[in-house]
Amino acid sequence: MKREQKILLAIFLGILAFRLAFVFLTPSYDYDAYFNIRQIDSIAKRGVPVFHDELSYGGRTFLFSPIFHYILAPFYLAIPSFALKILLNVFASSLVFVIYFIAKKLTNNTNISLFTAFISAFIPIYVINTMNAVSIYSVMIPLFFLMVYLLMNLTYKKYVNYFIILVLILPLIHFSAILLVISLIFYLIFIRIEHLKQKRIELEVILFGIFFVAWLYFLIFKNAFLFHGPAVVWRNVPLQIMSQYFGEVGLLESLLTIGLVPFISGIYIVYRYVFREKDKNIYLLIGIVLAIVLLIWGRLIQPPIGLMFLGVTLTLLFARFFKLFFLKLSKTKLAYYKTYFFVFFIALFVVSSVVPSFYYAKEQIYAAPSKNVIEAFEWINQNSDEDDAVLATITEGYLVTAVAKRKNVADNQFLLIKDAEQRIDDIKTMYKTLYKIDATRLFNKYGVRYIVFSDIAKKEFDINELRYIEEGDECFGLVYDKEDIKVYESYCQVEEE
Amino acid sequence: MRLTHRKVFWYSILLTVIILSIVPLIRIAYFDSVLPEDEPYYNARMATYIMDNKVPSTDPLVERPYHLQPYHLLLGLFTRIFGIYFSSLIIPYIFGIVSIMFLNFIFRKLKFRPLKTFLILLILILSPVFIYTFSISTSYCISVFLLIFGFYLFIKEKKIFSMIVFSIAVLFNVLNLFIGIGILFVFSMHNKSLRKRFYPVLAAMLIVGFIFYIPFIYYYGFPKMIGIEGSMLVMFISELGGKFGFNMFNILLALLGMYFIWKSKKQVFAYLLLILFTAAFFYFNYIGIYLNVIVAVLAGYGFYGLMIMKWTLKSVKKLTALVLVLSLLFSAGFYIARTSSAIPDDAMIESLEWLREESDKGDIIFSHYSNGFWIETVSQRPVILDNYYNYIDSVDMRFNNSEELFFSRNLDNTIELLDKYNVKYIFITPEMKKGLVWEREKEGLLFLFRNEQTFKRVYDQDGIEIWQYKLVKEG
Repeated sequence: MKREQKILLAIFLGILAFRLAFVFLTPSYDYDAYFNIRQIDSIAKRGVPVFHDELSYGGRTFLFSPIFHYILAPFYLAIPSFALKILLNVFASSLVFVIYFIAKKLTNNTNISLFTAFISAFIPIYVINTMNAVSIYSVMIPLFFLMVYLLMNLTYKKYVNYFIILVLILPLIHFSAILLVISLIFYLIFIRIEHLKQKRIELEVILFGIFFVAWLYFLIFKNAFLFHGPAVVWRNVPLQIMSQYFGEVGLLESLLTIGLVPFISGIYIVYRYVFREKDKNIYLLIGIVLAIVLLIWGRLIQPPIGLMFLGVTLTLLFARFFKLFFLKLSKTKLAYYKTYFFVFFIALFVVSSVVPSFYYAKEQIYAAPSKNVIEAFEWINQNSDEDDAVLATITEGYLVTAVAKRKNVADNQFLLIKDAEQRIDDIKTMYKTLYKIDATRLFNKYGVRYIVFSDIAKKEFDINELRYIEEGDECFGLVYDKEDIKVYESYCQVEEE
Repeated sequence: MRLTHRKVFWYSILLTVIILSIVPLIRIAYFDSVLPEDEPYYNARMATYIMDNKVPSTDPLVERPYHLQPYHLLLGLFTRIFGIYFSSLIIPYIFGIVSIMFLNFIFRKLKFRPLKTFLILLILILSPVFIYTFSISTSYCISVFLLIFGFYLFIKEKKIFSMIVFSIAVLFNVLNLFIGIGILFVFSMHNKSLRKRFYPVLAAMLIVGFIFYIPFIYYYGFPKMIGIEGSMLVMFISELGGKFGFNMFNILLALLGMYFIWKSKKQVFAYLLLILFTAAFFYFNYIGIYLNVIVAVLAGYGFYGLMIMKWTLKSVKKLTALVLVLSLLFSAGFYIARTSSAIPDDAMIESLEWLREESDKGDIIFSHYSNGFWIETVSQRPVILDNYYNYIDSVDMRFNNSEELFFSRNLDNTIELLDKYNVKYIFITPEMKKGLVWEREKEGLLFLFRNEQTFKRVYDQDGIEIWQYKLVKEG
């Protein structure tokens, strides 16, 4: 094994160890993870995912691609925590290999490539969203950048075949493959504007990729298009919570979540190659940057997801910056202090990327549902009837369907839901109203028998208690009570005239 | 296998026959012979009225002037022989096939290669707007045909016949005047002999247009535009639900086609005309019916350009072609499925017939304007507003009052408005409750329906409700 291979393997194992050390601090997963867990569980037990779900929103159809869930299902069947905690972190950590190869292509320098691979392992936003989230992005992002690498190397026949195979697979894994299409369009525009020579083969596979992805998504989303119209691009997220989903991205937030070094150096390279120099491979990366900025600006992608892709892309651009910087430095009188500069970079990187990664990783683990919360939902599962619906916040919606295995009022998936806005309003009313009659009328409407009142609900609705429940109330009974979660049972019916 | 013009001709005719048969066959098989969409009902009503009476000066059911539409005469004549239902199906079908026939002749005359002709026609025949135009009984099927036929005669140097056909086209729609002139102008501007042929046609079209439209405009003024259409994007893209919108892939291929054409020949005026038509689309979205032919030609250029491009990887070329053909086929398939199952369905017709039986002649029905043609034709009752709102008397006020009626929770206000229009029944469809009008339960009028002294539900089946408005006079 060569020296660089050993170092790369060490980086990979190091980052994997870092991730696993955190994920095993909690037995649970992020709130959103429970949607994927339920799908994986369904495939493992019944062989098929839950497309038509009787529990979510009291009955609805999901629009998603189950490839990711099928990949994990066999492992989940053998050892669930291996699939959900270890395997996914192996996938996520494998990004370092892809980054190494792309950086090598961009710089032709082993040390810089290794350093870039190391940096990529500590992009805070990537760590947060792929560590304990059972996230599709753990697979998607390494594959996405693998495609970028293949595209940079289409002179090799086998890479062309791999690229075509990935073009066929990637859009089936997740809809964020659309980002690749937009990036490739920007890339083609750059090539044309700068009059750069493009390999015929490259144009061909790009055109095929664009048409194939567009067609596939048309097929998958055709009903959603008709159902929601243009709102489908915002995934029918209700207006009341639109800002939570597609909020503004501030400079400070970007700096903190991407890392100071990759962010500033990446932006500099974008500027340099847009206005001063020409390089096809850099244009491909700039195409990705522009596509992400466009999607975030148009509120077509959630900022954390956009920032993940942006973080990795800017890290790659950092490789070129690093090379240019030391090349320039070696031509000046400061060349003597090269090592000091290198150490400075590392120190800056540790402070701005590694430390935040540790901090955010810890925060993420604490943000996962506590043991009490999970037990409360398990209690509901064991003590309620199958037809009972459970009121919980939207954040906890998947816990209702995945752990309690009961109907929820709403969760985080709004596509193909006609009355999403009404439900969001109603959930708010059910938590915040002062009047028992209003709450009970809504409980009857949705068939709610159990009300979950957790710290999340307290925070989300800015309340300390359900104000319509009095002590010794004959309409409600406290059936589960732990430090950070309470479950009430609703007994009454409102008779409409 | 070598593609010849002859083969392209027969393939395209065969494909047209198949594609245009699907919507009528599905409606016959599954919908108890009910026509889809709403405009055929208006046309059927007017055609029948003209045949039974005479050409009216005002619409017999809505307060608006009637300007003779030659399509109603043709439909009326066919109705005498085949009946209104069969005539409404067969007329667009015939004109669809004949239009494709003449497009074949045009492309052959313009020396298009067989493959290019085939791809253009394939894209056109499978385009949602083409399927709509030649499956649904509207005057556009003849308008499009006449423009194509007129253009064919023009390039065949049949000046007189071309003048006649273009002039007849103007009678069907005033837009044909501008579209015909625009296309002929762009086509003939670079060639002196063509220009010579263009001027008489231009003169004939202008004279006919002047004689036919100016007196009407003089008496009734220009049609009033009111903003009751949906989002521009929805209108423009068929997959989002736009009736006259374009398939997303056609747009993509057309952009590619424009790029290829621009590279070989910079047709500035043609592009300007295209921009003008596209801009006009957002005001008169039925211009999409004409624009669709242009988009199909451009998309055909795009597809052809891709196919003749030197591909290093033959397999990728085949895969790309396959994806493109599949996208066209699927898009057509989804559109056909959508149009075939479009309302009115049997349940709706049943409810409208019930309304006709139970209500008195002249009873005014309030509903969403998009239900207007059905109520007028099937129930034979007047409405406040229907889909052809251009010349309706005080259309702005009617539209605003309708909105107020739908959304007001003030009973006094609602009663006042219902009295103002002398409304007797309110017709509610499931679509109205699912976003066409209301987004939420108990919104506006739905809330007021709880007042039993004022409203009485007299029909409730398959989600369709008919409410009788009972005026309670105090004292």
